Amino acid sequence: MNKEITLTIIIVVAATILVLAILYVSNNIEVKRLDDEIIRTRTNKVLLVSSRFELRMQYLTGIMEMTSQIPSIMKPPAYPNLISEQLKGIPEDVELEKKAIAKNMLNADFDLDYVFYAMPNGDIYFLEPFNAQVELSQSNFAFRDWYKGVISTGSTYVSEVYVSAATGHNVVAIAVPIYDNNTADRDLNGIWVSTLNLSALQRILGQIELGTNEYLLVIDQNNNIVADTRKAESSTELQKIPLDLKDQSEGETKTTTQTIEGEISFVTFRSVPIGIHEWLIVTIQPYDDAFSPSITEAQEAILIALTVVIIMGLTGFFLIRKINYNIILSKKLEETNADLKIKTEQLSRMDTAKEEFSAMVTHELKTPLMPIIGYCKMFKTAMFGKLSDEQASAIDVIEKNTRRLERLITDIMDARKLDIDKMKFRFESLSLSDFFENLSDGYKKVLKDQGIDFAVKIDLKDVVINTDSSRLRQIFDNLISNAIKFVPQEKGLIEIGGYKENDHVILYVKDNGAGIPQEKQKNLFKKFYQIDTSERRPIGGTGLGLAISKGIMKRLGGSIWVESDGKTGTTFYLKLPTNNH
Amino acid sequence: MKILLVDDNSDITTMLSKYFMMKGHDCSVSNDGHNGLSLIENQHFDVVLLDLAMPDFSGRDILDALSRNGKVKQVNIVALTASSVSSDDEVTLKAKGAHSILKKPIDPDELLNYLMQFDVNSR
Repeated sequence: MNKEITLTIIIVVAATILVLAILYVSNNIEVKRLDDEIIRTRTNKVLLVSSRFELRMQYLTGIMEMTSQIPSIMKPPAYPNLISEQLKGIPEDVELEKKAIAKNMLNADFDLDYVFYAMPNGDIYFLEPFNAQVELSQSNFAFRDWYKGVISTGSTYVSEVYVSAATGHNVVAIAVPIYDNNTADRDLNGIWVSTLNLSALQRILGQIELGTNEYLLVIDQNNNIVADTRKAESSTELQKIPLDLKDQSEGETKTTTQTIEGEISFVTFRSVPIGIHEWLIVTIQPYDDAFSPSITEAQEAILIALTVVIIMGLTGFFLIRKINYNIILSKKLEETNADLKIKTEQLSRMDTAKEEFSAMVTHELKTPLMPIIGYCKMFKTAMFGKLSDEQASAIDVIEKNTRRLERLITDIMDARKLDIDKMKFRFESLSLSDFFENLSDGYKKVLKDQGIDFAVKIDLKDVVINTDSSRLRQIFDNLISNAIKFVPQEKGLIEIGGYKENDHVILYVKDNGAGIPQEKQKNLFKKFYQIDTSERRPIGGTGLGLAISKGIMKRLGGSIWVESDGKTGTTFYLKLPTNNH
Repeated sequence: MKILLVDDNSDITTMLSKYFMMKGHDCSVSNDGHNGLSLIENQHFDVVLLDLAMPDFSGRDILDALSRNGKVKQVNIVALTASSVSSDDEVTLKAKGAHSILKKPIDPDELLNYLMQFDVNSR
C-alpha cells in the first residue's frame, strides 16, 4: 500500500487512540470524583441521622437520670400497700410529688408515651397518665426487657423496641433504677421508667433529604426495623431485615453493595449505641440510582468516545480518499506529461524537419535563379552580340519574372520566419541619404523603362539612424513593387521621400494609382490580404509583403501606415526612431 | 585578376566563368571540393569564389582544411550560398578564413564589382 496512505492511517489511528486515552483517563477521574461525592453525601447523611438520634437518646436518657435524682423520686414508695389489681397501681390522689414530675415530663416535648414507677418486683406503682394506668393489660411487667435489663445491669437501661400494647406505637423504654442511698446494701427502691414513642424518630428521618428510590432504616439490636422512611408512621408490627452489618461498622460509617430483595443496592450504615445496645442507621438505594450521576457520566464519555471514533474514522476515510485521488491524479499527470513530452519531441522533430525541408527547398529554388539572372545580364549587356528590340524586351520579361520569383521565395521564407519569429535583424548606423541614393539608383532605370515617373524628395542630410538597412530595403522594395502594380498606365508617378521630425524620421512611398478605399485600409497589413482590382496590369504577389513590412517595422522600433482618399493615390508612411542607439 | 570558381553547379560556373573571361579576367573552374582544395593549395589566385553547399566535400570542409594547414591566410575567399546564414554562422566562417559571404542569386555584374577589390591591378 502506498506509503502516504499507511502514514495517514497510522496518524489517524494514533490520534484516535490518544484522544480516547485522554477521554478514558479524564472520565475515570470524573467518575471517581462523582462516586466519592456520592459516597460522601450518603455517609454524611447517615452520620447526621445517627448523631441526631444519638443525641436525642442521650438527651432523654439524661432527663431520666436527672429526674431520678430528684428527692421526691428518690424517696421510697410510700404506699406500696395501696397497689390494687383493679387500678393496676396506686390511686390517683397519692404520691402527688412523684406524679407531678411524671406529668411535667409528659407535657414537655419529649415524645414520651408514658412515665411510670415500677416496684422492684415489676409491679406498676403508678403510671402517668392515670387513665392509661387503669387501662393497662396487666399490673406486672417483669417480663419486659426493660425490667430484665435494669435488674441485670443495675444501671440505666434502654430496652429493645417493642410495640406498646396500649398505643400501638413502636416504643423503647428507658429505665433507671432508684437505689436507697441510705442503706448500706443500696437496696432497690424502684424503677423509674419512661417509654419513648419512636414516631419522634420517624420525624427525624422525615427531615432527611433522600435520593431517588432511597430509603433510610433504623434497626435495633435484634434486627427489628424501628423506623422506615418508606412508611409514614411506625408500623404496628416489627419487621426484621436480613442484614447484619453491626459488626462491620465498628462505630464508623461504612458503605457496601449488597443485593436486597433481589435488587443490587448501595448501602450506607453506621451503628449507634443506644444504652448498652447497638442500633444501626442504614440508607439503602438501588445501585444504579445511587450512582446515576457517574453512570450518566460514563455513558456520556462512551458517547463522546464513539463520536470521536466516528469523526476520526470519517476523517481518515476522506483523507485516504483524497490521497488516492491525488495518487490517481499524479499518475494521470505523469502519463500526460510523458505523453506531452513525446508529442513535444515529435513536434520539435517535425519542426526541425520542416525547417530543414524549407531551407533545402529555398536553397534549391534559389540556386537555379543564378544562371538565369546571369545569362539574362549577359544577353542584355550584349555579351552574346547585339540584340534586336524584340529579343531585348523578351530578355527583360525573363529578368523581371525571375526577380519576381526571387522575391516570392524570399517572401515565403520570411513569412515562415515571421510565424516562427526567427527573423534575424542586424542593427547598424545607416545614413538615410545614402540609403535613398542606393534606392534611387536601383529603381531609376526600371521605372523609366516602364514609363513611370520617379521622384525622390528627401530632407535627410546628415541624418543617421540605427536600423537594419537590408530589412528597410526589403520594405521599400515591397512598397515600390506594389506601387508599380497600381499606378495608371499613363502618367504613372511614384515618389519616395523622407524628412526628420523631433525624435524620429518619416519616410514615404507615394503613388498616383486608384488609391485604397477606407474600408479596405484596415485589413491591409494582415497576412495574405490582397486588394482585388480590375486593373489590367497583372497583380501577382503573395499578399505577404505588407504583413511582413509591418512586422519588420515593429522590430525596428517604428511603425507603418497608409493614407489614401481612395481616388487619387496612396501614400505609405514609415516612422523610425532616431534616438535608439 | 585570377579568379577560381569552386561550385558543383556547372550551369553557374559556366555562366560566371564566361562572364568573367568576357570581362577580361582569368577564371579557373572546379566542380568538385577535393579538386578545388588542391587547386587552391597549389596555385595562386587573387580571389576564390567558394560555394558552401557542395556534396561530398563542401565549401566549409575546404575552409576547415585550409585553416588547419595555415594556407587560408594566403588566399582571399569569398563564400557563396543560397541558404540563409546566421550572424553566428557568419562569424564562424570568417574566423575560418572567409573574407565575406554573398547570397545567391547575385547579379554577375554586381559580383564582379565586388570582386574588384581583390584585383591587385586595380589599386
